[in-house]
Amino acid sequence: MGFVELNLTGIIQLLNFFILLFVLYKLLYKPFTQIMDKRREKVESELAQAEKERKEAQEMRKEAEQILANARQIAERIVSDAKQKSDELITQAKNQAREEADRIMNSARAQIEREKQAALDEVEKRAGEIAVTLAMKILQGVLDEKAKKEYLINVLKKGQNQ
Amino acid sequence: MKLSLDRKTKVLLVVFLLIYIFLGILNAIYLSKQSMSEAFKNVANRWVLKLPFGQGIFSRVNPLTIFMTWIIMFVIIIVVYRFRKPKLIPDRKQAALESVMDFVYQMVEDAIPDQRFVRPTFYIACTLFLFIVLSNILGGAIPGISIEANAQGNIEKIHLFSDTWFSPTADINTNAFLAVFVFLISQVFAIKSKGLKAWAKSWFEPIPFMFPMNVIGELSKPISHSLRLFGNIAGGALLTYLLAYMAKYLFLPVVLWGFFGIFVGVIQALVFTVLAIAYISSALS
Repeated sequence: MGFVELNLTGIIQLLNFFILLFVLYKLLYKPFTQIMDKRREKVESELAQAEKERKEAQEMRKEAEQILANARQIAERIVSDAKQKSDELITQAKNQAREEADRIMNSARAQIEREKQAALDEVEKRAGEIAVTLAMKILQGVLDEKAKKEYLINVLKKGQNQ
Repeated sequence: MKLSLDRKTKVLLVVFLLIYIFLGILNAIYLSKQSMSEAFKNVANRWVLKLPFGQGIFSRVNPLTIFMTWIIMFVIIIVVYRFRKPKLIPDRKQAALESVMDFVYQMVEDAIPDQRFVRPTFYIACTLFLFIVLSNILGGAIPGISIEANAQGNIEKIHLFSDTWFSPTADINTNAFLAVFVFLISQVFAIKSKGLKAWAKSWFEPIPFMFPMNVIGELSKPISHSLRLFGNIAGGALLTYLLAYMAKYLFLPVVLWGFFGIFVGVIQALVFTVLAIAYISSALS
């Protein structure tokens, strides 16, 4: 019959289409849209997780860098402190040594001076005695006792003044 | 694009091509025995079954259309049944199916302004595409069984692989009712989306005087929508037959035309689907 004829076929075709739509909805679209949604959710959550972990790692790196910088600073400070302290110690030791040396020198000098004085005194004393003895011996025959004493006193006074 | 096929697929393709060429030769021999008037006298006839109930056109059906539709539905359902439990990480076959669906989904998502109607439109568009593409390829490019009817709509001859399968989309009934369905569903969506008042008002825009034009414009959509597909596929089938007759001493053009039939079929299915989406989209916007 006619090439272009509308008849009951169209309605049956439409019913067929609805059946196909229903079956495809049950078998294809529903599971596929579900799986696609699930996949999207999974990808999104994993991306978010990755982003979170990346941020965490970045923070940890920053923290580590901070710690490292702090440690470096502390180490530098320790080193410089130690250096300073050692310098101080050296200086102190030097000063102490110098002082000690000075003290020893001074005491030695004082000792020497004392010894010298003592020696001088001794010498003086001895010289006096010797001189008196000598004079006594020389003057034994010449002067009487009184004159001897006056003469000696004069000599000694002169010696003291000198 | 590099096409990499495994051994099994290559063997299948070669076997398919050999069968195709063999059927082309058979067809040429078969047709060469007939005169042109004999070969083409029933070309515009359809096998029509008269039902014992109903009146007028409601008592008549085209059994071949319905039967082929069932075959196509069966094929689609068998294929789809394998993927009823899709995997989260798809294999190659699932990925291929997903890419087809994703292609349609992207088109729908880009075109439909109201987010609520994206999914329903996608279901309709994807079903239309799968059904039409399969029936177009079957009718346009694959040699098969078809029935020649006389002017009264009775069976006169059964062609076994001397013609292509009969395509349901080469029957105006299928296309017209699908187009009307698309038209109605677009109006239903429009009413749901805008509300009845705004929808009714949209028929009188920009000025009330334009109402008849709007009606004609809207009603012409399903007509052009259905006739475009019908013309292409029915015409394509006729051309295949004509070419097969004309090239009875040379089977190669038939094979080539068959391959073109695949492209024409896919393009027309795509056009029908895109237009369906566009009509729904324009009704919603």
